[in-house]
Amino acid sequence: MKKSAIVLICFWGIWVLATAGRCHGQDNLTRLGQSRPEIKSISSAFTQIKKLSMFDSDQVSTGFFYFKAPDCLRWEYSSPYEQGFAMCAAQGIEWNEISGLKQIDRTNPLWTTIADQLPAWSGLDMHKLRNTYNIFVEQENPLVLKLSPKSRQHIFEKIILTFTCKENILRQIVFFDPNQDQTRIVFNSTRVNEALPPHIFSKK
Amino acid sequence: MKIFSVSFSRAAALKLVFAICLCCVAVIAGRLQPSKEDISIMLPGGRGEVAHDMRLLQNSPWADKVLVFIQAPAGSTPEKLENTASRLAENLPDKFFSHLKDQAEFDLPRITHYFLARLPLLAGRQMVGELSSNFSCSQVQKQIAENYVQLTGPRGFGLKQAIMLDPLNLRRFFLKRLLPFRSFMSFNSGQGFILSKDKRSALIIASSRFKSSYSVHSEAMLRRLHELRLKLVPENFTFQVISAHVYATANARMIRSDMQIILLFSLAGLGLIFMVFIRSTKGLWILSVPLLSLLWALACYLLAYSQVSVIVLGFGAVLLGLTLDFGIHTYLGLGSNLTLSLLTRPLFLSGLTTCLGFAALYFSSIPGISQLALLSISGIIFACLFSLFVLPPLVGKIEDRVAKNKTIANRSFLFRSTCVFSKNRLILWLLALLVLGFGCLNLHFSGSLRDVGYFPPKTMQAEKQVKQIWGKLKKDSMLVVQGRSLQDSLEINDKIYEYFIISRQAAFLSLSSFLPSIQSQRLNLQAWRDFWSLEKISKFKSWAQAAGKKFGFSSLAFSSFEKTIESDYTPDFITLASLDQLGLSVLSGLFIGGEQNNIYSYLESGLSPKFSKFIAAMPEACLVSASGMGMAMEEGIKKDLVYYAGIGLGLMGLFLLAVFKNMSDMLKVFGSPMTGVLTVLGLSGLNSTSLNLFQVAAVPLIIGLGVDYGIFMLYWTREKTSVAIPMGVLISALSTILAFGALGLANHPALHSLGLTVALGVLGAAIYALFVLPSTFLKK
Repeated sequence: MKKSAIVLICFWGIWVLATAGRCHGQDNLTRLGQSRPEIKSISSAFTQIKKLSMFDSDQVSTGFFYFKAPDCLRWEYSSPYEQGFAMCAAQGIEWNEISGLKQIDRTNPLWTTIADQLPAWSGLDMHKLRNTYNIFVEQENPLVLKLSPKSRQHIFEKIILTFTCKENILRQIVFFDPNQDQTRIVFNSTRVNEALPPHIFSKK
Repeated sequence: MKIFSVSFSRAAALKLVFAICLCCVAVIAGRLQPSKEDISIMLPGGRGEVAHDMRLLQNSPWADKVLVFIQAPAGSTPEKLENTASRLAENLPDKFFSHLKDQAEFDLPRITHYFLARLPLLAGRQMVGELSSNFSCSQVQKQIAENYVQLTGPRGFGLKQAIMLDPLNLRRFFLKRLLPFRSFMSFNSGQGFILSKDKRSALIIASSRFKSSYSVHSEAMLRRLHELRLKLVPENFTFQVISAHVYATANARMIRSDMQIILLFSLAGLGLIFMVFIRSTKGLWILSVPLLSLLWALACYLLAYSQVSVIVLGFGAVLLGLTLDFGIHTYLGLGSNLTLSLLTRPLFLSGLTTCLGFAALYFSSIPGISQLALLSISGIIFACLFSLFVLPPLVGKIEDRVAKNKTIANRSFLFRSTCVFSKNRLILWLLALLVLGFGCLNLHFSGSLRDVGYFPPKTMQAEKQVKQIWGKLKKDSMLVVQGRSLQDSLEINDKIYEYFIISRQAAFLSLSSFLPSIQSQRLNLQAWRDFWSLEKISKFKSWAQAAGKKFGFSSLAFSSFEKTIESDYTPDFITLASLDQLGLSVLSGLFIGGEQNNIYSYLESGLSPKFSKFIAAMPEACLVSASGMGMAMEEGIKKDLVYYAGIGLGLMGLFLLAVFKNMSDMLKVFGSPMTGVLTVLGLSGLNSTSLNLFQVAAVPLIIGLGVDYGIFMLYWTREKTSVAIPMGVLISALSTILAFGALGLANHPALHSLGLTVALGVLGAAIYALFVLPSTFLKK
């Protein structure tokens, strides 16, 4: 659970990085972080495709992702089942169609990790990224990065990020398990620094 | 008095001194063992409960832990910090630390898989209890649906393995057990350190091979760590060592540094007194009384006790400082035969009463105080005899500067001050006693060792930082189980833990959370097997297949779990060795330690009355906490104060009453120690400060000196032959006040409080003896 949260935040952070960066090679990664314009908010739709050995076929989900600086986050699925979480500062809720709505236990390592790491990722700290992953440029145009976890404690073998060149935003992220399971998330209709309704970070 | 006429010749006296020295040195050399610096000797009930608890605390796994805290400055790379911490952990010298680098790497996915595959061993009975009431088609379907939602949701990344091995979510029983362990989640024993989440701080948790009470080893270990810091840690990094060794060494260093200042001031003060009142090289013989008394007392002490405690020795030396008074009185009396004969009786009397006072201490609940009593009594008896029989020939004939001109002396300020009847003084004294008595109503005692120790601010700050970053690693209270064998201890530990789960106590860190005894694991597995009959296995498979198909799960999705419910499922038992292989030895090492087979559990706060009762009924288990020990020590201190001030004074009183056959004289003498003790207790109460262990231990010194002053001045009021006696009391009091007043300059809290206590107590006793006793009870 803790790791999934880290990964979630990771890919979001990388996505922030991508929206602010330029479509160039590895040398520009640090500059990308440094020259990133201030991100106040993000909203985006996404489609998630899971290829897991536990399932006979691919499982497709769709949903929305929202962020508001400094520490408000909402990640929700709209199909095939409604579920997700929303958190802001010390408060948070999570829900799904089976268990219903409940308060997030902020002492749980999952949420503690999110709350701790969020500000760091919103600051696009390349030191942190490089500390967790070895970063390889797989392709220059459009930019494709391969993130290989440094620690064997990581549940992923690798993560592939694909950016759109023109808009400088993250287009796709793919997580690979050691047993060849993979999760692909494709982002679309991404909007940066647009006003977001405040209640989305506190209500379902 | 005839007694002085049988004194030795000077040559004989010198030979006797030499023989005494030789005998004492021979005994000391033959019996002296390596000294102990164990504070438990000064704890109430040294052979009982508090000392037992202290031993458990000292032997706890945390006691030998040395935490090395490293923090990188802003802007530094995490790699630099990791490299620094890693190199430091690798280079910790084997001489001082047990190996860190041999431990297996902490591999979270492997650990997760290991425990998930052994859920029946860990919580079989609980899981069966839950399943018995909720095993139905609808429940299985609901759980499979939830698994699907979770797998496709944000938590899915981390839950895949858990759902495969445990589709019924029975792991929640095990996860509940791990909740108090959140602080330890980031352990990485393979590298020998843990990193903070922001990767700016690192903490090495090493085990020292030596206890903190071995100051020589502690100092050497800290010196080596400092050398490593200079060699391996960048200058702009924060580096702090946190351990009991640091505090012990800092205290020892501070005392050493204080002693230099104290010695300087004490010697200067004593020199001044010598220059003003004695003015003769022969007067240096006075010093032979306390020095030889200490040597003699140490030899006697070693004949009774095989090992000397540094604390007892230190205090003994301080207490035997009062024998200086015998030397002073004899020396001053030597100028006048009349005075000397007058001195014999009060010298004996004061020696005997002081011995009686110390005899009461022998029954103290603090073993160190009992030993002090023996040390002091033997020293005082020796000093008394030495002052009367050996000191006079050693000093020889002297010119008594004080008594040379009786007229001048009798006109002196001292003589005039002491000899005048004054009603005002009596009223003032009674008023002062009233105020001090009122202060005693607000008297408090502190059993906390923190009040008598020095705590380096930088280390305290580092401790705070560690707590902020990693949480409170070390809890307030410990529950210790002492079984016949490790498995025996584990079984008792399991019983306590099961009771804890039922009664839902506050945060409780127990080894049973992840290492139950083999017996418990067997019972858990048996309960698990008993539940999963062939019929139930068949039902589960069909229900899970049907529900899984609806959500697109493959037919093999839960095959891992299905293996665990088969009747031939026999996982390897969880053992200490297997935990070591998983890289969990640092974690398990926090629970097993000290004496063999001891298992420690940690509690955030105290126990509920019900749980306490349950623990009290288990002879192998006991609760140890710093606060509990503090309370027990407070009780012990109070009890001992009753001994000191009550039984001691009572015995002295009875003795003096038997000697004087006069209640009035006895009370006159008693006014002196009573004023001294009331001064200390009353001022402490008025100042709203708590009396600590060392201050209480100083009370017998005040009583002893006070009684001496009282006896001498009482005899003097009867004859008033020379100013030598009040002069002796004055010099004695001044030298004590100066010596202990110098201790008041110390930075170390124990020395500071001890110095001020004795100085104030003696001041009170001396003021009464010199200015209240004679003038108040003199006839107009």
